[in-house]
Amino acid sequence: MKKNVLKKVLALVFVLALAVGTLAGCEKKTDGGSTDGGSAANGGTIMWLSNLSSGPQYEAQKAYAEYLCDQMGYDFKVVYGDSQNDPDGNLQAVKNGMTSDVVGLILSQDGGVANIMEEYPDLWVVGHNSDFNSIYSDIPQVATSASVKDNEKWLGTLADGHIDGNDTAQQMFDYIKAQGWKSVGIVSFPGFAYPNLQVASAKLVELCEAAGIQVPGGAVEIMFQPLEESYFQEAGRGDLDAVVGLCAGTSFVYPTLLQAKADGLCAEKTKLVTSGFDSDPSLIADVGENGTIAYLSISPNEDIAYGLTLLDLAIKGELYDDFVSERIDAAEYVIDSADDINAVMEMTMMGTVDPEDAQISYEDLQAITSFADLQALFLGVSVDDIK
Amino acid sequence: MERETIIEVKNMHKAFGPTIALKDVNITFKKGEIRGLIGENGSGKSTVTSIIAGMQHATSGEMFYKGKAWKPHSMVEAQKAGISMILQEANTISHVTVAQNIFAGREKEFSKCGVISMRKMNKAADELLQKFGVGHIKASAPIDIYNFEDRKLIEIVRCVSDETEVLVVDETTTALSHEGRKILYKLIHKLSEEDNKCVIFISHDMDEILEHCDVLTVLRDGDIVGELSGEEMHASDAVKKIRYLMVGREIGEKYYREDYDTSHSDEVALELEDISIGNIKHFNLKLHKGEIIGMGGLSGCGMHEIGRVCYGLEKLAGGRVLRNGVEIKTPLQAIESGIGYISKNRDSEALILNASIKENIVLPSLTHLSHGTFINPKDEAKMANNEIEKFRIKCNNSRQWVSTLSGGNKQKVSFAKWMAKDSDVIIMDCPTRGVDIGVKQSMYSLIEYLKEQGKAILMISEELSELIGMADKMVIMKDFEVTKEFMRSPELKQTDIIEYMI
Amino acid sequence: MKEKKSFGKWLKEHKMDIAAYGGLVICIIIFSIVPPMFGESIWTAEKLANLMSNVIVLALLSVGAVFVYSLGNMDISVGGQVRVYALLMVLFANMTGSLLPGILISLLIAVVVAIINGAAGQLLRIHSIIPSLVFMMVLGGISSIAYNKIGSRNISITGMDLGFFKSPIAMVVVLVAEVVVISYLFYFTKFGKNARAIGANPIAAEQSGINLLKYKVICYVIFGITVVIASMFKMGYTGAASDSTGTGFEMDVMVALILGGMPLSGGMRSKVSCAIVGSFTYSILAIGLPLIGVPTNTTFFVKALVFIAVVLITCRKKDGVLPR
Repeated sequence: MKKNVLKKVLALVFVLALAVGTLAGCEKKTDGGSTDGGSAANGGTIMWLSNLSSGPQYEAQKAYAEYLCDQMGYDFKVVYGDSQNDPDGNLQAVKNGMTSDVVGLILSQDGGVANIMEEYPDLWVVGHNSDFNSIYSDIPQVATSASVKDNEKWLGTLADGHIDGNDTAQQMFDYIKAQGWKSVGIVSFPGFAYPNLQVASAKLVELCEAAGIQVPGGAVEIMFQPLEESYFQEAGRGDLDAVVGLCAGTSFVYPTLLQAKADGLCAEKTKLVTSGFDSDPSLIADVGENGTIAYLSISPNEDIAYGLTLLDLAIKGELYDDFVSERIDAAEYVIDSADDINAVMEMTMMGTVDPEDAQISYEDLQAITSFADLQALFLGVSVDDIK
Repeated sequence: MERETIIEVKNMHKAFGPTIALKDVNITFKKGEIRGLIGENGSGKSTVTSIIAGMQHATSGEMFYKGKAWKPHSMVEAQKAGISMILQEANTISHVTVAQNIFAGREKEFSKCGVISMRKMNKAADELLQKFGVGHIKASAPIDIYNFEDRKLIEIVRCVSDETEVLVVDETTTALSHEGRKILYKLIHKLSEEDNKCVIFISHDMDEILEHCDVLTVLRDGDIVGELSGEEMHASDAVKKIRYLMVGREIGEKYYREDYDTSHSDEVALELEDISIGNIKHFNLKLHKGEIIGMGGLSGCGMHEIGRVCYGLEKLAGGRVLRNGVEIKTPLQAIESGIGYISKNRDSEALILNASIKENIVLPSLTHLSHGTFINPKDEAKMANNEIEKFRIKCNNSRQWVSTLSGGNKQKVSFAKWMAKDSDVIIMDCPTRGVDIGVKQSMYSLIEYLKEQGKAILMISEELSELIGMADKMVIMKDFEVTKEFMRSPELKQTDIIEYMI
Repeated sequence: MKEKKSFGKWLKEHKMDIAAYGGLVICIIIFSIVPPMFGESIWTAEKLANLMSNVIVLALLSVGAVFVYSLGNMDISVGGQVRVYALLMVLFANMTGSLLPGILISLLIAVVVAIINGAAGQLLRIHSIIPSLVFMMVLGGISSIAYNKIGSRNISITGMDLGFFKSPIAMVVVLVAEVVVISYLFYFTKFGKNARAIGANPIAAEQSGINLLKYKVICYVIFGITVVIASMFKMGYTGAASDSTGTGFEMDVMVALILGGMPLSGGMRSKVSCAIVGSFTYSILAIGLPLIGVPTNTTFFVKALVFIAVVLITCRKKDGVLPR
């Protein structure tokens, strides 16, 4: 009996110690953050509703945003969007993270943007790395936040690559054609979640067939789960030149492809054309002309500067004269050689997480005086500039 | 011949929080004796033995076993040293074989290179079972196919080995039928007389104590109040003397009913018409207002099933249960037509242990207490307090949990449920099982009072003496059939009845 | 001396309540003292409104769930139910211009689901979690197909004023009303008393004349109705439903009840207050932790620690069952 009580007390003390430790640890961390910031943090806090919570792209964006905010005079903090992009989940995440000093929001998920802006009518809000179909879509049941378009606090968004799926398809097709491939597979996320990807996959099929490139079995949708190996057992797919992953192919297609090769279900020559990023060394080593991943497009972490710049200007009341709230395309790093991937890994924040390696510095942004120049800056990013 | 001392307990004191279970107990157990321990519930008899057997520890005091200081930390340690205890509650492991139960913790004896030979184990277990005279139990069979009684016997086989020096039998016989009891009696006599071991025998059943024990210690409120030698135990006034010691006051002559008036109303309160269920075929019974019918037999004779049938708990293969011309099919119908049922499995069926006295008492009466949907807590408390007072249930208040009450008080609560409901027909299955004399006496006078009130009572019991003492008519069953009916009479003796049971 | 003893006894008897209420009180104290050091406060109108909007759905659900959990049963179809009801309410609101048809149809489905949920466990002698598991999958499938057909992952009500569901006052009023009604049913009628008796000992309950089937079904129906009420607030706050609405609610309800000191085995220790205390503790942690600078991904960890602490204090090893 006594032993029991002792055990309970010990357990309790242990838990309390852990809890206090965690809290203290966190406090220290935030303290450290602001001392690092030095001069900064009078302008308030900018909050980012992130669609990611880990990985090199997340780390790079966060480090870059912290660096920029520091220069601009803000604190920066991250909350995580609902994993299903549920409007209420996103709203709840923002609400729970909200503190009185927040002055601007960067949203990487579009679910519930109207609700969020309604809840916090005084905050400037900008989109990032998302095409915000819930605002801009022509399909009424998709455009659930269409009202935001007229909200003056909405500063527009920078998409994750092309807004129009047809452009994405064209970009991919140009590459396929240049390689002289005769037979490709196409895999994409379902249209109800990513309408533009469906547009892209339909267009790509159309372009390929018109050019005499076979797409055995047509385009295939995956429900946010890795591609099944049986995919390669279908007629004509054992001998593909490449699989085009209009999805996060590094996670959803690449592992399956490797396994299928090991199991002899698919030809050794089959390449992967996709987007997404992972710092796993074996994957990095497999990118380029001799690797499995022949073509990889990724959004640069610097993209977040677009939103930050607009927020900063809006908060200070210094928006460009030619500013219009809209959504724009973003250029991507297109990696199709070992040189490219090495350059990205060694000389950008994606690989080093060091703000020194940022492709766009605070000074660069300061120098810009018009909205047109700002757009041009983000449209002009290219892997070749790194080298 | 002076017997050798095996266990000596000195100044043992045990407290559970503010409750003192034992105060300064001194007792000596000797080799070759069957020592009876008797006392009301809560008198401390189980506490003493469980401390000796390592189940719990004394608050203070000393023990000596075979002349050395004895302080066991667990039952396993005690059993290894030769002190075994058979408990009141079931203590077997479900879902494994009988042999695995018998040799639980001793599997190594049958293992070779880490593999246990089931064949060897079964064989050894079969031999043991034979030796104890329970050959009808098969070692290789899963234990779950055996009933409570057989499991108890298996437990006995497990507890007693060649190394056993002291065997504690704690109210085990209540779970056993005549056959089982015989086996146990034979065993304890063999242990004490042939092997010169010590047996500590705890029971509520005075007859059994008087018949089998060499010496008897009586406890009351954690204190030893008397010790009777074999001669004293067989004196003619022994029973009276023991009862006096146990209760601490003269409980009077009156115990069972004293009248022999078997008259009752002609009105039938409950009728069983051509009932068939399981092995019971075409059973008929008529219970009248103001009548007490006693049903007796061995525990497997089918009488307990009849009790359940009366209350709509069993699905019948044939026949009807009628109350005022209406057929009873569910407990709910039974209750609504004024039937109450006290299960023999008090703790698992008759009562909700993890609930207060009040909640238990008012449960069948909730419909009655509802005004629309509203149940006034004041009404509930009033009803419960009424019954607590009427039955003199020992408790702090009506919110006390039933699980904290002694056996007798628990039984009072399960009676109180139906008194509160004012049921007209009460079916009681083993109403005084595990209850001490003081409570028994008050139960009997309650039953008598109920008869006077014109209630109909079906009393199912394995204790013949209480049937003889209480019932107007006795229905004796054997192997699912009624073998004989007796009417109440001063001449009726247990021996007259037993032949119809076995 | 005597007083001390009785205090000790009181402490022992009310250990569960103290742990549960204590958790909430400690949270309130911590989050009243610490955030001001960071220049924040939970005692602002905005944060309190946020707390209400955070707690309302969970509290409405948990309060109703007390009926099912007091039986010793569990229902893990809650999330799926909320998702489908929210979808129906939005669909019918857009079709008819009124919330009422969607609510009525949801109620109808809720009652059917509840009857099957409650009866299947009893009639088929299977664990209560199994029928609800089936419903979890079926309802998940239905909503998945529906959203596929709609061609979007979320839909919202257009052109209707849903201000009522956003007003903290309305939330407080509805929650209080539900607590009053449920408490009445739970403490002052046969429904609650029988439910607890069934949870504590179904055999004894049956022998005391309780129709297990009937009362189990009634408990599930009561819960089902509160699920529809909660769905209204879930949907009403954003005026939208999505294919992930209600995800994880079944677990949130369980966590809230355990945090509030509810025994998972049901029985007489079940209390309506468990639901309130638990869901407020849970929500106050959710909004309080970011205020004192705990990063979002660490809050899960702290919540887990608080949960462990409450469970350790309330567990009764002797009875062999964790939080009882």
